[in-house]
Amino acid sequence: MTEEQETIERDERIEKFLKGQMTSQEESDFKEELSKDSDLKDRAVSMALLIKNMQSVGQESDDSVIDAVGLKPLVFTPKFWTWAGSMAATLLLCIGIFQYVYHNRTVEMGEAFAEVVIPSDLFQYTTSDPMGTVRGEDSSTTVFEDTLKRDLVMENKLKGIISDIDEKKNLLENIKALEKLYDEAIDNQQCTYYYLTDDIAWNIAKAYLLKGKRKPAISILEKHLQTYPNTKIRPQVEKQIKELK
Amino acid sequence: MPRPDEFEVFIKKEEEKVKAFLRNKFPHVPTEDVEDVIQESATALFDNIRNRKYKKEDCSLSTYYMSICHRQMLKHLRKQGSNPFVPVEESLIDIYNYKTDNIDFMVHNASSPDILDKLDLKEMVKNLPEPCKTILWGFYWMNLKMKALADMCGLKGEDSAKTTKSRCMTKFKDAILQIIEDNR
Repeated sequence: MTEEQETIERDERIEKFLKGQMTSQEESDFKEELSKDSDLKDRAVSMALLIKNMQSVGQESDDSVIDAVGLKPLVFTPKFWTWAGSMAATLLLCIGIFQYVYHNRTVEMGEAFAEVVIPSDLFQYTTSDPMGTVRGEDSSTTVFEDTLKRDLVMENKLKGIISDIDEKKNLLENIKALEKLYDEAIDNQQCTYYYLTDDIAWNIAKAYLLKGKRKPAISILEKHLQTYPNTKIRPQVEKQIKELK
Repeated sequence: MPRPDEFEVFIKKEEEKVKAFLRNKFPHVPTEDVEDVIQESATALFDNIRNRKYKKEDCSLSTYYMSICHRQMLKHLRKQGSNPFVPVEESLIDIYNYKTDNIDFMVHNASSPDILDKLDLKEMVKNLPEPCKTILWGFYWMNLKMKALADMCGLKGEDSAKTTKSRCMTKFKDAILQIIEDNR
């Protein structure tokens, strides 16, 4: 091989390095060689300086030509609007399909949810025997007759709401009513419903699912666990949250 | 729309290179046709810059202009139909660009960085003597493949282009070393 051919091959190796085309092994061999061979290093440094300065000069020159020519302002042509319209329609269709599938799946989950039996305070006792309910206390000494009557009315009302939810009637309205009762029960321990929070929270979640809304259902169940960490329906709630997520 | 002076200066500057490239690559095409193709290409380049079709990240303006000329010539030959052989369109440029990190690594590796900092290397690369100017700019800035470089410089083939480029590189390296020596 002549000296000239060797120089050409050497240049090609330097160019390969500068273009980042070497394998890591080749690159480390090359760098080691650079530290030992001053001729190779001088040539490589010169080539890098040449390229770096050409890039700088060339770019400046190109930019001045481009600036002088000036770029045409972007105009939204009819072709663009056709394209944008079809993209938007496709996107809306995809979102619609996704929401339809998501909604149906959530309702299915709500139906499965409705089948789950929880230890209910509301349905544990018959309305004809409200005295037995409650609170494991001796009602003759702690609860007045009119309070008991009011409790009975309210419990029946709650049962009516839950029965409506099971039949998927007036879901939004019933959700609002239950949420109001739930908040009252949390805020006020003297509230008629304070011992029925498990039933209320569970049925709010159920109603949301039957309405096709998964996030608020998860949210109310999580809120219930946070507010009443020792609730007796904790295992069922945790299982449902996991499934819903 | 009138074309600005900067654009005309650029076209004038590129004219000789482009003409040489087309004449060497398509020797059978009459000179008038080459002139026509160059004029059409300049118009196309102007429109493409205006309409944002040219992306400076892809290649230099010179490379882009030469590619347009090449494509226009092939189109012209196909349209004419009188030539039995129209070459297949091939890329004139190397797809790999130089990596800034690797260039910087090498520059920082220089033995006398303090002296290099003081030198006006931009002026030096602007004023390289011919034919090294065309060869080195064609290879390292335009990123042309050896065959295209040979056509542009009127060299006999790739080997001849490689040898000439290597000699030019040696001259440039020697010039830099000499300047460093003089500045010590």
